[in-house]
Amino acid sequence: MDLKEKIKIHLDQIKLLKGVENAVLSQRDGNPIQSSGVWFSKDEIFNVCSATSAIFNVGTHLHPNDLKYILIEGNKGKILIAPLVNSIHQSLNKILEQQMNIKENNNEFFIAITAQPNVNLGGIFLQTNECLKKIKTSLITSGESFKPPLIQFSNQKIQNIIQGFNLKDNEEINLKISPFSLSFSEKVALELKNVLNDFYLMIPELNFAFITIEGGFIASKMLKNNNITYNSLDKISAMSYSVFQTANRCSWLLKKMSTENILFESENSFQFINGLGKAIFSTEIEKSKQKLGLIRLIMPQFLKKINNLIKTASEIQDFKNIDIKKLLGNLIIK
Amino acid sequence: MIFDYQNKTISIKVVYYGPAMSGKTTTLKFLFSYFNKEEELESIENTMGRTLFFDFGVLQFSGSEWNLKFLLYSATGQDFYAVTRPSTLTGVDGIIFVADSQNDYLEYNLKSWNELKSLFGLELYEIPIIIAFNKYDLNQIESSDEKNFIEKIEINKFEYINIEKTIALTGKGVINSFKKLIAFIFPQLTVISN
Repeated sequence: MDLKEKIKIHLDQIKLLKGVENAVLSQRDGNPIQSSGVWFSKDEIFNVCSATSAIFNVGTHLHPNDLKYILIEGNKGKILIAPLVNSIHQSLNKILEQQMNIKENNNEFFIAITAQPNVNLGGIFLQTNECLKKIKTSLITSGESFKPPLIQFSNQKIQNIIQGFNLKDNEEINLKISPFSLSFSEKVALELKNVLNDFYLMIPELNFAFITIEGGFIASKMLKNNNITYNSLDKISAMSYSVFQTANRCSWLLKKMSTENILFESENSFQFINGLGKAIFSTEIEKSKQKLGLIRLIMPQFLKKINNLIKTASEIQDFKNIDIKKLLGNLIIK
Repeated sequence: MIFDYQNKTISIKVVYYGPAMSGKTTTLKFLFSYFNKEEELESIENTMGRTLFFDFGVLQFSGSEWNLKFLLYSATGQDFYAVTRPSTLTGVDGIIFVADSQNDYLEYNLKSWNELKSLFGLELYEIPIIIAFNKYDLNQIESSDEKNFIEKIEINKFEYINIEKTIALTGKGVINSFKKLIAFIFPQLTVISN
């Protein structure tokens, strides 16, 4: 039995769990390895794997060494993205490092599981533990490398990859984007700040919170963790915004739904990214005292207020009166 | 672009876009090192060292009353990660299209350009763009592919477009491209080098 057949058996076992619709295994760079579901086109396979790879890599960037999983939720379902991490694999990890010079190999492979909206994916993840162990053992002992090409796959390679995927027919999706401008008055900016302050009063274990609007611009922010600088917060905001956009694309490809929120769970914290039309609200909260369910209960009232304020800002736009020359003078680039 | 009255800051978004291995990340790295901000550039790259999602960094300059903040991105050029490019381009205020000026790269440059066009549609004609023909030092004679590229993209249809020759490895033309783009985005400003 070859490697792909072995993995397929375990993925099919995962798919048999109640509520699970599809399970896709990829190498960290997004190279598709195997899946258990039905696919509509080869582009869909590659798009889903590269999009989940982008999301996964941002996850490991934002939460290095301790990312447990990423949960994407929409009205029609859930997508769970998780690294194949297991303590029993320490000796196998050493083999992987010696054979293929792959370090930090806990994040070398990841699985994306799609499920119906009402299932508890955490529970499913626990039930799949045994299958994931066996998959990782098979991957490591195979000695195969799953690196993607530098620029593009050859047609032969594409054929080899999609052989393991159940392909149905073709579908094209069009995606249009636009430039964007928004002006935040002092009043709206102050009100946004007040909402973040109120949120902090409710959840004091907060590391940071920010509101990022279309394009990845921070509209308001709050920083309570001394280990994070405002510059880092710009980066976290850019990554969070881009990851939300990509998750949206991924949700559409896999479930024909929009993403409502994303949760990154690591050993010590929860990071939430909530969609607000074309904006996002993101916050990171220490796990020590806070319960996930309680945070989820508190969140909607704040999201509603933020959403209303962003709408207000969008309605009062008057760029004609902005005198750039006066505001910036002669700009000195140094 | 956003105008933040509370922090007296104008933020704008610039994306370095172009085909795989044309020098987008190298260009951005030079730009940040020029301003002594190398450490500020963050990359989401794959295990082969290629940009998997994007590179990102912030450069901020002080104006007379307000500050000007640039959110600078480079999109991934690898076809394999094409699905992530639209999210990097969302809300962009200006694009530096890093083309590979070596002979025989016309097809890759055009493919990347056409993707940009399909993503923005007619709105692309209104976005400030600098075409940076990178690696021009690698050609013995002036590349005919550059001329072909300019002809094929119908440059006359664009409202704000300019061409610059660059060598990202040495930084030649990199700062100029950046300044030209600022001048397109804010034609009212006088940009002074120091």
